[in-house]
Amino acid sequence: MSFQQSSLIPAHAGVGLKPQHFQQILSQTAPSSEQSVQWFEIHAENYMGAGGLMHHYLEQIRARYPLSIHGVGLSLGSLDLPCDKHLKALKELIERYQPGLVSEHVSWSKYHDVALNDLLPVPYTSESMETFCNNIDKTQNVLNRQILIENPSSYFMLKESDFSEVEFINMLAKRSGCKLLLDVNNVFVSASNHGFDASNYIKTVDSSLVEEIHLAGHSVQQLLSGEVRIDDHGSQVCQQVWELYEQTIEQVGKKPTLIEWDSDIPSWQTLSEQAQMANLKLAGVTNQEREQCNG
Amino acid sequence: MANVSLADYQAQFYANLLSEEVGDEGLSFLALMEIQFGKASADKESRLRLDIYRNNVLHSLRSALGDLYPVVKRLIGDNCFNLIAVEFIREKPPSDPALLFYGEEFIDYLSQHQSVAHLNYLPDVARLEFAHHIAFHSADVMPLDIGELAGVAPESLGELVFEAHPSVSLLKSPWPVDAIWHENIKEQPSVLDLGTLGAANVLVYRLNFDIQIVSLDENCFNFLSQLLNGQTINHAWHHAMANGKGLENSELSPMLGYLLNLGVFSACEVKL
Repeated sequence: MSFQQSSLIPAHAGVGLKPQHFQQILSQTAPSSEQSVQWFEIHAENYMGAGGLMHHYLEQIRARYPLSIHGVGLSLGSLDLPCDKHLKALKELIERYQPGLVSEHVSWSKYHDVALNDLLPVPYTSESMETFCNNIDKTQNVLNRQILIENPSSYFMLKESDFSEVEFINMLAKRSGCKLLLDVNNVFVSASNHGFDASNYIKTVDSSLVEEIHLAGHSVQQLLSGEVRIDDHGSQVCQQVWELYEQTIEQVGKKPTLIEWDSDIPSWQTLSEQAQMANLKLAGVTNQEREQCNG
Repeated sequence: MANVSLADYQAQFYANLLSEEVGDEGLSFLALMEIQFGKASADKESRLRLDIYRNNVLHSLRSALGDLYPVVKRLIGDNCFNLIAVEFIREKPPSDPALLFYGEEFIDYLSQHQSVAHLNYLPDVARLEFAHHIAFHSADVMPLDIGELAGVAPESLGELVFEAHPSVSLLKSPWPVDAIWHENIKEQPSVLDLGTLGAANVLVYRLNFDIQIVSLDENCFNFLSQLLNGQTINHAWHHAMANGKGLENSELSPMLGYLLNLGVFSACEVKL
């Protein structure tokens, strides 16, 4: 299948596509540059069924908008190489929908034959670096394209490591030839949970590697140590994350920015308003040099 | 101190993710965490932090099962469903990261679970829900165009075999599972008299994007079962006659016409 709509993801706001919004999205008049939502992202695994309503709607939406495919199941941090069956399913999805961007995570979620359905943290060691490099290499070879990898949120840090997280992701992207999906909410959540400086983290990210940004809401739980922030994608982006986002785009330039909202799904109106907020911040970027499209 | 190996770290993390509790064997994993408190609080704090992952994993998998089996969940209540689901997840966690392929084995697990053994119809309701799920995600295939049969020589019709549409499932139950299902997707279900409603012979499939749940009479169900197994019309009909009740030869043509019109076949050919 080929789509008239280009694959290129613009440096504007997009949102995570939810079935609750399918009809609303399609009932809008033809997409225009005035709209707050300019592109969509899907979780690859939700579309690995052969057919049916999910694909019926996705095809129509893809015909009108650029699409990004975000995987949550490759488990790039597992010692086993990514599973052939899963890579094949991902490749088929990519061939079917021709996304502008394909991304995965700096985490692991599979232990031998068990899929744990969560993005678990890895130790930032040389051994993990080798493991990720091998797995990303296999993935990019099979998919025959470059992927982006996303920095995780985490709830504990390990005593022993060879790198800080930001050193790890910079080096990993350079060594494996992939790019970065910088999740600003994850930086904020992990910085709060582990007591590091989020702003410094952003400053240390290699700007030339960042091709996409994620924003989301998180919740707060009480632990003995005080608050722990939980990356649950179930609310609006908080003020501190918007501020960190402003710093990020001033540094890396205008980039496609996704609003993720995966639980307690809001109305289309509320989601669009979050996208519009991101667009306003993007419009205010004074660093024009890095402005570009991705694809 | 040397770094923990990735294999050791992941083995320990895994062992402490799905376990019922984090016992003493989990202490070495907890000790890997950097916790900025005194020793006494550090143990408790690290357990709470591990619990966030333990809860996330169980919650997400339990939700996936709840989404797959909403009527079962409603029939036994959220608490009971969640308890059984968590036991099941611990025993049979998913192997495919795409969770839409997870949960078929839950039906057998449910059928052997003592706490719901008195609800004899429950596993069949789960089977119906799983058939619905399969139909929802099955490939988009056009149903057989009945016009294609016009090209088949009349003497060869009996030797026709059909290919089942990929969305099709058949379900035979001593319980009125279709009525139970229909009632319990309503906002306010009424009480059903299971005794008077009787057994069910149910066909589940998808027509365009609508899931169809069709109650068939027993003879028609038997005939269709044979056809879906790849038997010729002749063979399927003889089987239905031999095993059926009060089935007349004159019923073949209308019954076949009815099934063809439903759209449960995707192709046909004359078996040579």
